[in-house]
Amino acid sequence: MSVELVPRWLWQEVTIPQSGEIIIDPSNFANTTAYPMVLSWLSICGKVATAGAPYDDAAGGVVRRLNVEVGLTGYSDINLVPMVGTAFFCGKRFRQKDLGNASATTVVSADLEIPRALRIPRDGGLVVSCQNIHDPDDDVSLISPSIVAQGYHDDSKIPGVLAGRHTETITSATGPQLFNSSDLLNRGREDFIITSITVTDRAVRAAGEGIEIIPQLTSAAWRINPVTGVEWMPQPDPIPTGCLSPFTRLYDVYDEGPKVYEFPKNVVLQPRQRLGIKLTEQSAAAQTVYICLRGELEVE
Amino acid sequence: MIRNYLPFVRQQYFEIPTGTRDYARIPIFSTGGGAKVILDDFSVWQAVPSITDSPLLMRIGVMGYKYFTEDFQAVQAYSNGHRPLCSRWNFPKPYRMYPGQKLRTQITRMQVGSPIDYPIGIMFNGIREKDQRPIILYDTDEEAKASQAVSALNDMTLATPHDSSILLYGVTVSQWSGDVLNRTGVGVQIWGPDDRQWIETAVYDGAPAQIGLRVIGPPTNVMQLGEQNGWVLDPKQTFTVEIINTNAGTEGVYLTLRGVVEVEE
Repeated sequence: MSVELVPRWLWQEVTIPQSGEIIIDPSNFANTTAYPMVLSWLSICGKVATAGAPYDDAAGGVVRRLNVEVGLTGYSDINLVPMVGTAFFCGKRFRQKDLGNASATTVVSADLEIPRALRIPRDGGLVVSCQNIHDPDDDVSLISPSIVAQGYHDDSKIPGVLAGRHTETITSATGPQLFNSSDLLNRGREDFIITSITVTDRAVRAAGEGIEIIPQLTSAAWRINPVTGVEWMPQPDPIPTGCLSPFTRLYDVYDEGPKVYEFPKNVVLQPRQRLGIKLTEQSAAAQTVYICLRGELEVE
Repeated sequence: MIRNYLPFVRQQYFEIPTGTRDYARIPIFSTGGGAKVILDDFSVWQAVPSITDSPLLMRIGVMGYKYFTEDFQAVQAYSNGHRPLCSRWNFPKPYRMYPGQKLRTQITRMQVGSPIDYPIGIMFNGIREKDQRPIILYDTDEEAKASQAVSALNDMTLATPHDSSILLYGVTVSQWSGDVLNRTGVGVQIWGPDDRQWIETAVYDGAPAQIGLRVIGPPTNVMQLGEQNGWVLDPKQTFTVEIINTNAGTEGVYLTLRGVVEVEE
């Protein structure tokens, strides 16, 4: 019996009241499959608290104002790791990515950080949808949002690409947009092995006379699933880019950005087990954050 | 037969004309020669800063296998690699040099503005095959010179020792810069022992000054190719790129392809 590791992303948007605490609905972080789920990391991002604040504003900092506690349900409420957010979630590993000028920050790229290659059978492919999750009153549009999955064909070792782009600008008032699938399908005669998946997001918005940075990669949200087999993102709503790509800095200056906590090796969420997460807001302002769990199902 | 892997960099600048949906087919990076070619990475760099919103769209392929996709995607979506923290290039396969052989290099200061002069240097990391001891080949110009000044770095410290062949694993370039984003680099040219030019870097008058950094340390946009992704081509094959400019004005872009050619000696 061979075991295939299938990626799994689970997430939730949560608003924490000022100086309050909240226990996230554990049903959103439950292993509802029949397979053990090896936990990779927990990522968190959100919008800078002060509306319109630049990224280096002292009011910014989604994670640094939080206490976070995590546990596996079934033992006790919170038993795994309690810590303040700043120390709990690590900083960036990699430098920013863009094309090197101001316009590039309207289309930035983010890696999904796939620890191991993913197999797409020859009659398979990807189903991708993207949503603009910005406030409708912001002038932020997603321009040519794109996804590129690079890899190679398994037998011939010829390189290849599965890719998709929404040809129209996605405004913030619209729901998830399903991508044209023609280039997202493996039309070859052999399995396709994906070694990397990269998506785009938007990093700036024009505000008044200046340009403001959106440091948390919270302009776009993505839902990426294989055509066949076990779903990677089972929840109906797309997941913010910052949660999917927490390791790359958006901007090489300052510390703001999505954060991530990597679980120790072999932390497993068994079938029907759930992850408990408690967030405590330490400042006198409520904030909305996106929190995302990534793991790998050991599918037999 | 002993196999050796010759590093190469192909760089090309071209302008995609004004127009919202014009496209230009880029002729291309024919690598030529050798038994096989391993492509390491590829990057696209916009030449002139603009504040327009529309992106460049791109698709890639190998001539003979057509393009991999019918549609074009934003160039940024191809950026699956990570930029190193310094200007370095680790070769995908080590390059062997023999006693009596020597490298030649030339570095052009590209930074404009203040500071316009700074010392520069280049260093190749390697190992002696005879006794497995580490070795470096290097040269520096510590004299402060103005922007656009050229330093020929040809000292004997770039020569192979007399008693052992060496394997070179990578090259780094020092660049002292006041730019916090460290995007301003130096123009780099390197010639191998047979005077074959590894890095075909032209220095463009009036162009922004990142060209050298693009070669040695890839820019913030880098597409990782590599043998592990099947990027081993026959020398007759060609890496092809097609780009659409959706901006209202002309866009100048630099394309840089790096890799090694396998040869038998």
